[in-house]
Amino acid sequence: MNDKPHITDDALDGLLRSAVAAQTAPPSLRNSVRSAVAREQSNGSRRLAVAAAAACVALGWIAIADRYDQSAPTSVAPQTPEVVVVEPPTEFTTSNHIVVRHERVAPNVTVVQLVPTYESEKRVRREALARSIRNRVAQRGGAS
Amino acid sequence: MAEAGFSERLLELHLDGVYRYAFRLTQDADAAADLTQETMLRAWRRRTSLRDAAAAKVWLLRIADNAWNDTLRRKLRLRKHEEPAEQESADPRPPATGGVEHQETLNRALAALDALPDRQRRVMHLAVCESLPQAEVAEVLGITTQAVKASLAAGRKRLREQLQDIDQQLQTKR
Repeated sequence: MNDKPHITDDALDGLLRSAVAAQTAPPSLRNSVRSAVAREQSNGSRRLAVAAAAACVALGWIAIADRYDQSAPTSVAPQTPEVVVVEPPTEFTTSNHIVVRHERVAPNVTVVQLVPTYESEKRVRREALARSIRNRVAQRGGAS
Repeated sequence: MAEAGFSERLLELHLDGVYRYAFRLTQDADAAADLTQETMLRAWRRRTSLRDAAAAKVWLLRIADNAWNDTLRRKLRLRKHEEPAEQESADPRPPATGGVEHQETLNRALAALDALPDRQRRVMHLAVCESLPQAEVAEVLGITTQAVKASLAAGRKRLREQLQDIDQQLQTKR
């Protein structure tokens, strides 16, 4: 039989727990941990605010850049071959009409106004008739 | 803010436990305070990674253990470049709270605990002083439960040998 004194596990555990239990965090450490965490918290909020401000600036910058691109004359529009349109003369005459160009609605379609020329012949005839009547009246007046 | 209040309450609740473990690791009052603060700051920065508040103690002790391992690695790197400095640290023993004789006994127990090899010391502290189950001790230290059992048995054996006369004193007092 072993006659050496033998400390039990329970006694040993109790002894160690009592020894360690006295080691509590000093109040100064408690305060410094509190303030360090508070500082960390405010740093976090500040970082968040800075990130939000940076995001706003970036969005604004993108919006301005977009607007500038739209209004810039150097926009990259696809180049189409330039079609040279030969404009027809403003007015020309046919045998019976004078054609006056009125409106161009499509490359191949032009609205024109046709002014018939026979009205002028009528007028000439009418004027000739009036002239002959005037002559006859004058001749009769002179004879009497 | 519910989350912040919750986390602050949690840190407050486990501050003593973390400090005790830091003291066991560093064996120095100032270094233990620094390690505790470092642990709490790391825990605060990673507070969203804590899923279960009931596991907070194990989580915090693991952070403390990792922080101390980082410190040891840094010290090891520095020691390669610097001359060894004269160590002058504060008395790691707790302040006297009871009778002189009783305090002597507690100091001897602490000295024996601190004299254990590193892993045995950590295991003994977590399993005995913090009353963590062996599985949780294994989780904190990142080792297997078998390794915890082995370290615990070896630590107890060594402490029993060193504290035989204390047991005699305890028995004569009864």
